[in-house]
Amino acid sequence: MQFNSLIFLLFATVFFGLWPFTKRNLNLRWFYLTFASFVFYGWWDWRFLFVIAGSGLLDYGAALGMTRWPQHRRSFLWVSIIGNVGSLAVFKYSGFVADTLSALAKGMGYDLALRTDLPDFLLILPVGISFYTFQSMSYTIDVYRGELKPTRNILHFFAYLSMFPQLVAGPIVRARDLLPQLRAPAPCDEPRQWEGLQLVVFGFFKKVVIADSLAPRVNAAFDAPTLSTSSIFWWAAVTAFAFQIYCDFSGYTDIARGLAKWMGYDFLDNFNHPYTSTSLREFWQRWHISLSSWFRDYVYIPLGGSRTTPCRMYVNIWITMVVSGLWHGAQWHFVMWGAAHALLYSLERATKWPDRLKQLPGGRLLAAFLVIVQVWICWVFFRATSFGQALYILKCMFAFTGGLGTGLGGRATLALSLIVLRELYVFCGFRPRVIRSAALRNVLWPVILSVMIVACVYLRGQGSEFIYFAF
Amino acid sequence: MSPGALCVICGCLRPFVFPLAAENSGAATERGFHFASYVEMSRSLSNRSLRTLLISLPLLGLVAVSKPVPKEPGERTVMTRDAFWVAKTHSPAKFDLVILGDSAAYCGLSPRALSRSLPGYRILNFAYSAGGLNGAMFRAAEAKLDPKSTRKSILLAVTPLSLTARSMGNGKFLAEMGRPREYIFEKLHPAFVWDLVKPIGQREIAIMLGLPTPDGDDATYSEYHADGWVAVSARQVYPDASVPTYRKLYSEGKVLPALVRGLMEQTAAWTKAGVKVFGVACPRSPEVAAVEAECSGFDPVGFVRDFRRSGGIWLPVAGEYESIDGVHLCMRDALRFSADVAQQIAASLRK
Repeated sequence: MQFNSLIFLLFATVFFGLWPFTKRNLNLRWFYLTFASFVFYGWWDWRFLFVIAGSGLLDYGAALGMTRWPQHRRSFLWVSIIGNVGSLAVFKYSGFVADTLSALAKGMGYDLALRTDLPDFLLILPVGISFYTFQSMSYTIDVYRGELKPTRNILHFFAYLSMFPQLVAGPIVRARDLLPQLRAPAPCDEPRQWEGLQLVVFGFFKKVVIADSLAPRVNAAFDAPTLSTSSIFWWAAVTAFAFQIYCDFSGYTDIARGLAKWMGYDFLDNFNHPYTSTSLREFWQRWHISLSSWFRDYVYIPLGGSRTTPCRMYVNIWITMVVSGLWHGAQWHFVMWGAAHALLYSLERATKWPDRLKQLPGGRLLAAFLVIVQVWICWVFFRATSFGQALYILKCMFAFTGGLGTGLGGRATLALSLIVLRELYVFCGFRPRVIRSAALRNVLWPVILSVMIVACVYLRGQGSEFIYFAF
Repeated sequence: MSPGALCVICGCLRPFVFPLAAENSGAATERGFHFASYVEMSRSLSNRSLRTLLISLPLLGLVAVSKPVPKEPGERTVMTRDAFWVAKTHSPAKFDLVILGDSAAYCGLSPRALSRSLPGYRILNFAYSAGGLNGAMFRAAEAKLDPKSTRKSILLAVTPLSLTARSMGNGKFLAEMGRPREYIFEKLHPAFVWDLVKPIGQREIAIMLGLPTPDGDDATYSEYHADGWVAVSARQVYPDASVPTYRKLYSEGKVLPALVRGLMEQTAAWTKAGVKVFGVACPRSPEVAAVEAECSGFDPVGFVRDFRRSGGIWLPVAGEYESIDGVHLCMRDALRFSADVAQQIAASLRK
């Protein structure tokens, strides 16, 4: 069930209509939330429910085992990690491994078609598996580290793990943030309702008006890369993709946060204007924050982080980035995307160029521009369908030849301009002028939001899935 | 509406629209959902979420009723593209006359225009993109005919392309057949909702208002009708636009004699079963017709002769019609072509 579908509208109406009736009994509330989330998730394919239930039961049991038999804590942790990484490996990476081995075998003169030997169910990727396995794993790791007391109530745990707003595309909410909130949800008063509505409307606007308007142009460019060899065309196409994925994913996050607010829960923000960053380090502190911080806390720091020898630190950066790339998808171009970020970030760490540049007049702007160029280059690897296609597009981008070629089209240009202007506004540090009259403020904002709702309905682009569902 | 009346409406709506607010308002929690007091009703209006809803609903309604409609002649049963294909494929409705063919057929033949000369006929344009005139489509078309109808008819809109190996895949038809249930439900049942909230495109507005289109003269506009017709129009027509594509398609595969034979056998079987089978050639621009004559391997004279021998009724429509690309008729000419075909069908029925 997608947020931008009629069936979700019906689902949400029924869910929020009955939600207040569960207020007095926490067990009932958790059961209702878990049940509704399973309906939401099972709508794609009910068989996927066994995967999430299995993953959840494993971690629930492992965490309880850690407290019951503390001397075997480490063993329980390994059981949890092997179980979660194993389910990811089986469902997400078996096809990739089969293809890679087949290609290697072919290189050595053997004709192996391993993918065809895989059972069909291994070739279907359960929606959002990367998100909920990471979320589930963080629970057992936090319990192992003693940062979290495990919950004994299985409904409490599953309400956390399967909460539908963030189940399939994040943000990855940590158990230590959400479990306490589930015990004591905030009252859904007027400010919270309003905040939730704003997030939901902004989220839908970003997704259906901006991202979906850019999608056809981006798809057209990447589906037929030989369409144009013009550098301007490809820079425009990659820019459109950069903002498409930003609006698509941050739109989803906003909707998820808004829905959670209506339930009385708070999720941390997942995006903080990443394209206004003046260094790659800052970019990763602003882009997909819940995933970046997950990798920082559970991969980078356990590997030694930056408190080690410089050489080891760079190895840690590379491992984290490449694994992050592989997390996004079981294809080599995602690995290349991670590796490209690792390379550029390593260069940044070694030379500290952003700090030096920012000391010069206009240096901040130049630093932001250079970060964007680097991020755009990496996006090419992310969006391309193969490594070869990525290289071809990069070649076109840096050939600095050709005219405009096929333009983005009026609608996509308008959508792009809107979001670019907003990011520029944030980058320049403008603060919205405070309207002193509360009465005027309380009328103006509902009007603005109403216009955005109308825009979501009548200026929406062609409906498409959220990009991060594929991960 | 007076502010007092608005307050009453808001107060009544509030617990239903925002039960969460009711949950947290002391009085409502204690006494359950109820008609709020006047004081509470006034407070409802200070709820910014409710205020947004109250502004956006009439605004949505206003846009729904005032959004521009095409100035072109034709039907007004416009729907979204997705709903159009789902309705065509999955609607349980039954018909007296079913039209089969490819995109030239679904752009060229308007069932409503046909029914003007064939009063009382329930007609469906059951043509698909790259649609073939082959066994799978014949069976699907048969299933669309009302078994109780006493005037069951099939109209085959023949193009050489629909008799090639490429069309045997029935790609579009099979793709629509394979849609998930919820997708079909979503697109089919609340179709009127989708019509109301159909997005307004930039090109659409421009063509409707007669302004230059943002994409230049190449812009085309498609209007999807519930009866299976797609009305297309363009600011500029290019009669030879399809020539390179057709040349390429025919270089990949010519008309298959087996498919022609199959069509004749099916025509004979239908005729024997009491189904009237009509055939008509989809109009082409001279440029495209020349490519078809040169490359398709289609023998129009032999085809018509065999079709008649099989019991089919060939409709010799010989008018000149304008198409946007040499193949797909413009909206006005599609209506004219449909009227001409209908008159010939009516004439043959009178004989």
